[in-house]
Amino acid sequence: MTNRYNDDLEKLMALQFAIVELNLFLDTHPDSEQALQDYHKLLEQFEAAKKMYIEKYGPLVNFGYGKSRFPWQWVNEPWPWDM
Amino acid sequence: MFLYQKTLEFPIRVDSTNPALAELILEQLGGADGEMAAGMRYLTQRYYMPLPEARALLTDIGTEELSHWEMIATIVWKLVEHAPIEKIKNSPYAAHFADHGRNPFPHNAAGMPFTATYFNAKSDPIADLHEDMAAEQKARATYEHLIQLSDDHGVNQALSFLREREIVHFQRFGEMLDKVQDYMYSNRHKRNRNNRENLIMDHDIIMDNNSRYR
Amino acid sequence: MNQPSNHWPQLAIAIIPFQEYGETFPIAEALKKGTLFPALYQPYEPGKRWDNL
Repeated sequence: MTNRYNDDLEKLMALQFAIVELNLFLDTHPDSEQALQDYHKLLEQFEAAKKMYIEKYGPLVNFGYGKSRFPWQWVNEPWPWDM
Repeated sequence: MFLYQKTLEFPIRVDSTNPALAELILEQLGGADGEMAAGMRYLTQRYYMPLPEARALLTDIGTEELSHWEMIATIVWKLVEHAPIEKIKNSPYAAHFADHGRNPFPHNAAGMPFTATYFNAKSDPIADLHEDMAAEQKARATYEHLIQLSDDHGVNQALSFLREREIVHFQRFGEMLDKVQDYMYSNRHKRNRNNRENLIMDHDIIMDNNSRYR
Repeated sequence: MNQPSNHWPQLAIAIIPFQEYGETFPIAEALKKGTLFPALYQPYEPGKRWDNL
């Protein structure tokens, strides 16, 4: 179970990192059309990966950014420093 | 506001139980050039920034630094989580353990606690951005020291990632410095023409220039 | 930097050139390396910087 969880997270983390990089680039290059296009391409994949995660494991982000099954899934292990 | 995503920015794999190394890695958890100092610095400086892009960049890099802080704490945690007490007793981590047990805590490799004296915010965007660029270089240098000190391959992969982030952040702050300097020089140019006394960060000027600076 | 050309280069001003958008690593490789951009990738080689001075 933990191995599946790890694999599910790896693609998510790679997408998340690329998005962080583009976010920072766009902050100093707000007029870069190419960067913004690439940002949206990644965003599409990221949204899909997040959707899958949430369906399987519950909220990925706290305070209202995903549904949970009963009982409350946000508290579930593993937490990131235990993986 | 701050939210939390239940992933690390980078996957941490630690190949050994090593309290001695953990004590050194703490330098980036609570030291002068560490991730807590960086995150606090940028998130504190953003209020006085004159350009919306600068406010965004400081917020975003500040947020990323907190994610790095979490990575460092994770590395320390994994290095000591399963360490037998005998291994801790004879290591520099023993002093940390006396106070904090196995829990990571923000102090530096020599045991000095984190302090707000490690960073500043001057209401001077040029000074602040230069501090930010210097901070990124010092952090990069610190990661190079730690990479030399560490024999753990998994830890070194994470340290290399963090080191490269410092280089990228330096570039972004450099770019923002350019934009801010442009803004301030062009405004000074306009104001001199109108015979106004300079206060570059005059609130009126910020309001007048509400549209994004080109 | 957009300095007026008759005042270039101004003294006492630090200037970092702007990165131009270009090549990117595939995302799994980008994560491993710590950047999306080959142009910003500067890996550490111990012993090849100040250590040998």
